[in-house]
Amino acid sequence: MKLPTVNDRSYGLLLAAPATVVLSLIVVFPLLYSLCLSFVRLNLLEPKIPLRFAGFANYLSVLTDPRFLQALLHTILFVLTTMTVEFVLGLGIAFLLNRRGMRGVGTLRTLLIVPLMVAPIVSGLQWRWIFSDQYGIFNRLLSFVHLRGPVWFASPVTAMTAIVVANLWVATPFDLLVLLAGLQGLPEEPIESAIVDGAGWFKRLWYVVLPLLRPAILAVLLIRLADAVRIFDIVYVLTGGGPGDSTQVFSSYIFTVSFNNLDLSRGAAGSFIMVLITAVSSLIMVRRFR
Amino acid sequence: MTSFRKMSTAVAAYVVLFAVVFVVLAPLAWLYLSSVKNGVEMYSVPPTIVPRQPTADNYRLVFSDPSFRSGFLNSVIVSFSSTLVGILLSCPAAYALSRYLKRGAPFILFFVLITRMFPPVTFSLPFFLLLQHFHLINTRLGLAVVYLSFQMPLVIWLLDSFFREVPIEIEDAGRVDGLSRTQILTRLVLPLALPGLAVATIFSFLLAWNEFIYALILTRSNSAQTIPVVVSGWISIFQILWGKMTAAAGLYVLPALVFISLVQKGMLRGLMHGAVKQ
Repeated sequence: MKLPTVNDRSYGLLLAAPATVVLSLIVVFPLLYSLCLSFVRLNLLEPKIPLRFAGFANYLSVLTDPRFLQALLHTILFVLTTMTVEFVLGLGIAFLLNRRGMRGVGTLRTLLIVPLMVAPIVSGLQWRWIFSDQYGIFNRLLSFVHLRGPVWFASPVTAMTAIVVANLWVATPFDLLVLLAGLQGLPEEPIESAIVDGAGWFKRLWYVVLPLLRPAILAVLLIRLADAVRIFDIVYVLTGGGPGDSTQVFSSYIFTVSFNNLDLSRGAAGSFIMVLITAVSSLIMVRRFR
Repeated sequence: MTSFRKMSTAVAAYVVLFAVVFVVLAPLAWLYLSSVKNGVEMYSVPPTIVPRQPTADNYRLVFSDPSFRSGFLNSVIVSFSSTLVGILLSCPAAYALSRYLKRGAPFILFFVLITRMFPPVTFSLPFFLLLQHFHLINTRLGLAVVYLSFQMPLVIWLLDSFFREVPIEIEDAGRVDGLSRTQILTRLVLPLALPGLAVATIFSFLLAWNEFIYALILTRSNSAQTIPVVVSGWISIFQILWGKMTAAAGLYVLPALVFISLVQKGMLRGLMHGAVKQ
């Protein structure tokens, strides 16, 4: 036998080399660059000031900025609301589709996941039109049941509700798809033996199905957390952060600081704080699920 | 009695599911219905559901707008070129990972997971400065290069899983027949992995097509602005021309609607990209 493995390995490295070089240049390098940026003083509005090391000054100034804390609060509220609602909806619909003897599941699923690849900004625009106060179809529908719809984008609570709804529309299909795949992959025996033991519907769900579904649930939560925290497109076209600053979120705060105030180092610091918060919450989730 | 109960719960399940399907599809339907209304009917109070005199005026308005036309061209050029280059770079790398560098695969997985944690806004700062430095700000080339940064990890991830499904015996047989390693890849493996390749390509294309925040930050004029940036620029505090807006949004969203049924299976894997492999 000759020794092909050494050769094979270098052949593999040769195949992977172009992608590795490109990814280092456009992913790794920018990240390190951004990290450095967060530790220096760089404001494009003050080009005369020489670049210097700033320690944690940028981080401190972000953390003590009331607008940042406000954006943090809005983001947390948004993430908790949307993740809870989309998970419950996704799981409920997945249960219905996974019932024994259901026909047309494939077609129903295809129709239900239509919004999945729709650009978030289209969702934002479409809901802005649906919720518009005078010509909006939503308030019109409410009037049929003798309810007076609010002026959606005039108050913080209703504006945030509109953002959550627009996001639910694009995001819930993902929860549904993953949870349904998880349900379809569950073994039959534990559930059937639970039925034999006389466990009711809720007990079966709580003690048998959900624990078995844990990997799928964790995957949904981790991915949706990372995506929900970064929400930007929908907010940008739906409310523009308004009324006032009442629907500003993490990303729109960093966007404003970096590209309206051109304070790139504070923007970078803000974005790393955001990543840190996401990473820590993800770790906590992974721990809890183990 | 029990069969009656079973029947009625089954019927209830269908009723709920159809209601959900309706709620999911209604907003899009409303978008398209609105886009064929004329100026008067668009703003009639109360709004009409079905347009009385359907018209293509809004679409004509959109197509005659130079900013939309250039936006469309920019979107097509940027998305197509970045998708193509992304596939060409990622395909050999994914194959190498699945076949020759198996031990490196977990590292790549970790890499993908980490990059997913970073929101686009983190990357946008260095990209802004770098593109400015290389005079690539507000160019299609600059934007396409930036798009590779999120397309390539996804494509490598997807293709790696598709290549793993190609039986190793086929490659061994090719070796026995005296094919070189490159011939094994191009003549045996790629044809078998073609469906997966198609899914990865479409998925990657749609990510670029839908991308908004980079385009918003890194482009400024008609020479590079993509559709979402152009369309969102039509929003003003005082007025939104909803006829034109709904028509443009309806056109922009078409590729996503066409492709969704084609790539359903790969979609699950694509979206799980970044998930902890259990």
